Amino acid sequence: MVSHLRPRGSASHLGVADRRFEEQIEDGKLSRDGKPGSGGLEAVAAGGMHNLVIDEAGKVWSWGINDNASLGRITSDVPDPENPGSMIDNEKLESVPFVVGDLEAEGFRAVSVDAGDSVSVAVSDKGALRAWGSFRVS
Amino acid sequence: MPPRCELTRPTQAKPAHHTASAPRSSKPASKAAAKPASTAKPASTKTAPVAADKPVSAKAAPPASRKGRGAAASAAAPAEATIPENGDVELANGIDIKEKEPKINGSTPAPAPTANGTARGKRGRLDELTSEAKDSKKPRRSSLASVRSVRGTPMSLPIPQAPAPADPHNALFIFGTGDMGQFGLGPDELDEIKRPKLHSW
Repeated sequence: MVSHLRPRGSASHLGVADRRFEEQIEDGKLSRDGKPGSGGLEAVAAGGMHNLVIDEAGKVWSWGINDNASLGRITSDVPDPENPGSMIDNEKLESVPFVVGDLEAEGFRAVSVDAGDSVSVAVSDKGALRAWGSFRVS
Repeated sequence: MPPRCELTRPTQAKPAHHTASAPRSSKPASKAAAKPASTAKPASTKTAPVAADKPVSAKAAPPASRKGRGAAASAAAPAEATIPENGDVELANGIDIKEKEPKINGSTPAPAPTANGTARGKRGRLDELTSEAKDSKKPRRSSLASVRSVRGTPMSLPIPQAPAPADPHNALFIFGTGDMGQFGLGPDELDEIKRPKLHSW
């Protein structure tokens, strides 16, 4: 389960009275480079077994189960650039957020995303729609 | 007796045509025979002259005969008259009239006013049914037309715009089951998270 919210107020919004959430947020540990305002999330969507987020640059990130290509990216037999000749572990490609490369390559600036069981959709700031995955009934 | 009957019957049929050419002796015979024989038929023959006499004498007579006919055959005649007037579909004629005719006949002990009332009632009900049928058809047509018009017109939805950068930035929390890597924390963090936890984004 994934949720995101503005770090205003107290953590009682979540039903949890724990100050360390606020401290972590105020410390800016959720930004990509560890600095506040350097890049947070614009939108998040939880699907059946995968999740999508849009960062402040408009890129779509995905992780979770890649059944029916719901992640929108290849998660098998991907060469590791750091170790030539070796492949990135399949579990790592699925369980760690990665940018959906095809959208980034075409300059797709996402402003809205949503996810279903094994389907994902994104809308750009120009009104373009991209969908991937499968809409079959499981 | 039988020969008289045999003689009288042909004289009954003939005298109407040959009254002028027939001999005088046959006329009284035919008249004498026609009177008893006319008792069987005159119901139709008498009503005709009566009806012919009454309209001349009084104008209230024809409605009386109409009422009599209406009371006798009120079910058939007005129903046949109302159906073509409305002139509509088999639904109204086939189902509802058949259901209403026995009710009207059975529910009308009073002769004349109910006959008029039932005729008006039939017309009113049929009109209502036809109007309902027309009304039920109209919205369908209008809905189809609206769909067609909607299809014809281009969709105009607002294009979503990117929100302004949040300061401080939005935070991502995760909790629940992550045995299949749903948390996005890597292959090593697959245990259940019972309480919302900040993602290591």
